[in-house]
Amino acid sequence: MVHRGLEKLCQTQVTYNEIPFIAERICGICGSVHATSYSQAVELAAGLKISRRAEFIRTIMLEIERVHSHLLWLGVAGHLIGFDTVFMQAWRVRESIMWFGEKLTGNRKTYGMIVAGGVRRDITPELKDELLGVLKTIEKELITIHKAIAGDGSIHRRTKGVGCITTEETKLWSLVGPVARARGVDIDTRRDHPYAAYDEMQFDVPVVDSCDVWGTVVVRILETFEAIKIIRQALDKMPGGPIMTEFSEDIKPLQHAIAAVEAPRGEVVHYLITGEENRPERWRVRAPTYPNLQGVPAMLLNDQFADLPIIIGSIDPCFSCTDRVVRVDVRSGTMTHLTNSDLEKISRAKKFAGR
Amino acid sequence: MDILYIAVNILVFLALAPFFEGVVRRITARVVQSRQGPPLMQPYYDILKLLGKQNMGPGNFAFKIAPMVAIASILSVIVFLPLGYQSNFLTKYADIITIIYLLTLGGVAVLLGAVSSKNTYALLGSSREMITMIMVEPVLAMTFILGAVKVKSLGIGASVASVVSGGYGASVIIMLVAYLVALQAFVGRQPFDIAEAEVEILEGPFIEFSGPNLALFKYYLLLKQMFYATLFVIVFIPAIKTGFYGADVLIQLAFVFLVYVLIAVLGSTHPRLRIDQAQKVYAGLIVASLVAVGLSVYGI
Repeated sequence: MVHRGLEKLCQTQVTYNEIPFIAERICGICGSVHATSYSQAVELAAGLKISRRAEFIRTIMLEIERVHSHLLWLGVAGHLIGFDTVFMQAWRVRESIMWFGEKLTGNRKTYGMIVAGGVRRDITPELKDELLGVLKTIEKELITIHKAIAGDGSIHRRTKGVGCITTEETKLWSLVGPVARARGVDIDTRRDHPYAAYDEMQFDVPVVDSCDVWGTVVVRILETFEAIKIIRQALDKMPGGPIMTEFSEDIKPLQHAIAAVEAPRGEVVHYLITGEENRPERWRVRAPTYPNLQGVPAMLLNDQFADLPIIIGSIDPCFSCTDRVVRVDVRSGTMTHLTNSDLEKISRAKKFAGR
Repeated sequence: MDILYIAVNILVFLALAPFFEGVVRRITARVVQSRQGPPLMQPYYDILKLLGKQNMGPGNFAFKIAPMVAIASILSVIVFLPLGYQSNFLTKYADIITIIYLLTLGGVAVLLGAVSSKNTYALLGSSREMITMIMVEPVLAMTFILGAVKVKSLGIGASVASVVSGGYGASVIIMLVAYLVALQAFVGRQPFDIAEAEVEILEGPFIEFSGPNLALFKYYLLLKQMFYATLFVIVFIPAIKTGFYGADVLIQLAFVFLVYVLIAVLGSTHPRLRIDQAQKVYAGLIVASLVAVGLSVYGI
């Protein structure tokens, strides 16, 4: 997250347990995954084992986020193919989980729940009952939406055979998340490298081999059902105990840690080297759009201009996830990286261009 | 007295076209999309606001006159329409070919504006608009011709009134369905809002227009939409004549309202098609309308 100076800020100004709140602001839609991933990296570096209850609550928060993120995507995808009714209905269904998020954490989004060492708020029995109720309505309405979408010929016409990329190419470009799973690549960090409480959860990883945009629609809808299933299991099995495990602030410097979390868009990887003065020496984030965007040119090949929005939309792009600027001279093929002062010059030139 | 009917035509259309658009938006919002939706008067506010804004443009002559040509052409078409089953002073000076020409002129004005705005998206939009215009026009023409072959006349009053005069035969039913499908393309709504396609080409032909110019184009689109809805009512709904001109107009407007409801429901339950997919639908419509005219020649 170089272009917004987040990594640099966290390496020079703040302390370990302030960073989760900054990490959460990397993405406006899937913030918890960054906070979780960062916290796990810190815990790994410090050799800290957090309480089981905190891990369960993290799992629930991540899945709540997945439900809302996939519904959001479904709405946006509807809008991109000019079907605003899907947009409005998906977002109406999504609204109840947003309200619940506000009740649980104080925020509709950017929950601020997850910190290194555990979570900040507990899920009380009343909140648990309410969450179960919310999930029930969402599941019911989502089944309706799923049926409507599966039975709508026009949606099939706009998404089937669009944005094709073969399974081999998907692996070659290292695409992640639903984009890869819609191309028959069976990867899911939750199952392959379990973290939080996912080792105890029973869930399926939907994989479709249609290799097109329609596949990503199916994968995301099925994943939302799986997310609901996971939250129910987590609420059911959640053990008692503290939600926060204190840790000494002087973590040994130069410890390396890497933590991966399955975000709604794919795999998020946080790499951390601990440093002195109670803050990381180096913190590097790789968000899922960064690898996924590399596959877009291949998906766009041989498709029409009208399909461009939905193909780019199908990877659920988050442009704050794509953090490197490279300047390519088309004629000679040389690539140069832009420095801070270059970017400053460009933005100033743009700002004053119209005057 | 005949001259007054012209004034009524123009006033009714100018006054009600934005209102019906408001109805479409409200139905889309409340009935289909579970949301509150804008006030019924919103399209009037939009146009008023745009009229008070600044005109920006590339500064060529074609760009300036395009919106005016568009609105002038659609207003001239409206003048000829026998609203309330009442031919007016000008109806006898025109025939169905005049109507088709003037409607095409409106489309050409949109293309002119798009091409003169020197914007890539506008060019893309104009090519899509052109395809739509060329391929949907025959449905409109055949609708008129269906009536014209029955009365052996190209006059507006005679040909539009005679389509359902012999009841709903097979030819009329085919034409009615073809017209209803084409209606979404005529008025530029889903699944055929391809020329404007907001997320793809950002309103296409109108992207460079602003202020009063855009207001004129918006008004043009609203009037065009109401024209096609009204034409459907005049052609395909048998005349219910009360003997009072005002009552006839009101009855027709009630039917126009129903057509708008249909436009809203169809528009909000379909995604946008790609232009190549839409072309196949249009081709089907052309064939269907030709079949309808063919059948009507044999009186079926």
